[in-house]
Amino acid sequence: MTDQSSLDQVLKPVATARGLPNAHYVSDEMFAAERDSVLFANWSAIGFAKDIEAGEAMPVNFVGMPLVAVRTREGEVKVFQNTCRHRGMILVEEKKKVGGVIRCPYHSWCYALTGELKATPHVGGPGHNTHAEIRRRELGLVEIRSHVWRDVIFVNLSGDAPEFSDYAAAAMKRWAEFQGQPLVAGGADSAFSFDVACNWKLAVENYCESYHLPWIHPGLNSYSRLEDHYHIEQQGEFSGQGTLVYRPMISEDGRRFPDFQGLSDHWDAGAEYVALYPNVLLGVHRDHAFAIILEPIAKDRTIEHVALYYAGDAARDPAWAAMRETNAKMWHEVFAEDLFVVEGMQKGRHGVHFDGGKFSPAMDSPTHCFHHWVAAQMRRPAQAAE
Amino acid sequence: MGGGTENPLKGFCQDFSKKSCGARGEGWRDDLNLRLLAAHAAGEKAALVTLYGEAAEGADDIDAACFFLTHAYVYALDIGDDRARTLHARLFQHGREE
Repeated sequence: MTDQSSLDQVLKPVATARGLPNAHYVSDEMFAAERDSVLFANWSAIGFAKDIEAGEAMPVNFVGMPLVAVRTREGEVKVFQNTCRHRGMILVEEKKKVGGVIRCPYHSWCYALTGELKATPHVGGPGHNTHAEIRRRELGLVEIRSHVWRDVIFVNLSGDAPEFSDYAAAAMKRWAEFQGQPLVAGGADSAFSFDVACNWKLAVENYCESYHLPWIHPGLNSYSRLEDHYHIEQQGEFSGQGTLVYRPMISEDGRRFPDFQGLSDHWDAGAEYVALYPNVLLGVHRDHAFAIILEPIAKDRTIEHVALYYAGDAARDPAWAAMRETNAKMWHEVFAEDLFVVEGMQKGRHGVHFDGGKFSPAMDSPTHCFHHWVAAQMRRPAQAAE
Repeated sequence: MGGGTENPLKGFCQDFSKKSCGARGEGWRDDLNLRLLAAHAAGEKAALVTLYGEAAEGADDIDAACFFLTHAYVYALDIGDDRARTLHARLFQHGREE
């Protein structure tokens, strides 16, 4: 485990700070500790709301925690612990349409999509489905606090984080112009994933900063130069980068994706890329957006789930299919260019003499902002005990 | 134990089956067993609602009838079958549901 003095080094100002120590990337024990203090104690992303139709249940194993995300017949997304209240049986093994109830495959206790326990067959003996000690009102599925923002399903597993609207208030305010606008998922041609041999935090760290762009993404840099970017930092909430020279894609026949409505001039050539801590990476442009959910699998394995979104009809209309495909291919190439970097940093973290790294005060402050936040989360249990 | 579909009428319902065979003919129980096994194997839950309902109708013992009604009810709930409402009412009437 990391000693407190190492975390104190991370918590210094960027000019004098060190990065998180190696243990945060190569230790199973630290992976488990971060699971509780970083991922479960905050609002983590577990999936996309676009992937659940009304009446469907989608199991999610989030860092070992069995969850099931459902969309009720009224359209509301809810998340429950995917565990029967009777004998602890896993309830939903595969994504499925729920005809009526979620029925436990063991003793057939039945739960409504809203979580209520509806049936307890033979619980009082054969043919007797009630018992004085079985109070159904107290035995509904354990609901997990959840919130959907920009189609991402966030959960707070510890149950004691601030309300999401407070937790992400600055991010919501920053992109308020997009709030409430149709954000339509592009469908199968606009979603892809990467299985990456790195700790999930390295994907955040790389995403946050523009320092690497000219070296890793020379294609982007041909028009989006390093000096056209600016840092985005909201201490304790998110960090990232913005560009001042975004150019919407133009098809061979001169068409552009339709813009989101009523945007200010800033977005004519502006685009922003923000890591909302802990594990979701968001990008917004005048004409499309994306979300990347980082699914931590192990200390050295992460699945990146990418989904692209458009304004209204451009998301599904066949007339836009070729442009969607081109756009998805472009982003796939960009994100793929980052893979050797994050996997390389994972390998480098086995260097026993690496001290967490020296930040560039000018270029690395968004990354340090994230390290600082992680260190603060890890310090919190210790501080509570003091 | 596994193998829950080995014989849907086995064990608890043996007495029930003996009692009910007379009115419905000697082969009824075996035939219902086969139809239930086939429906279980095929995952035909709507058919299970019907067949367990039939088993309940053939019972002249209230406990046996409610056992089968319970199964019919659970499978009806499972698939969102409207018959769940009626089945629930019958179980409730006998003090077996809330």
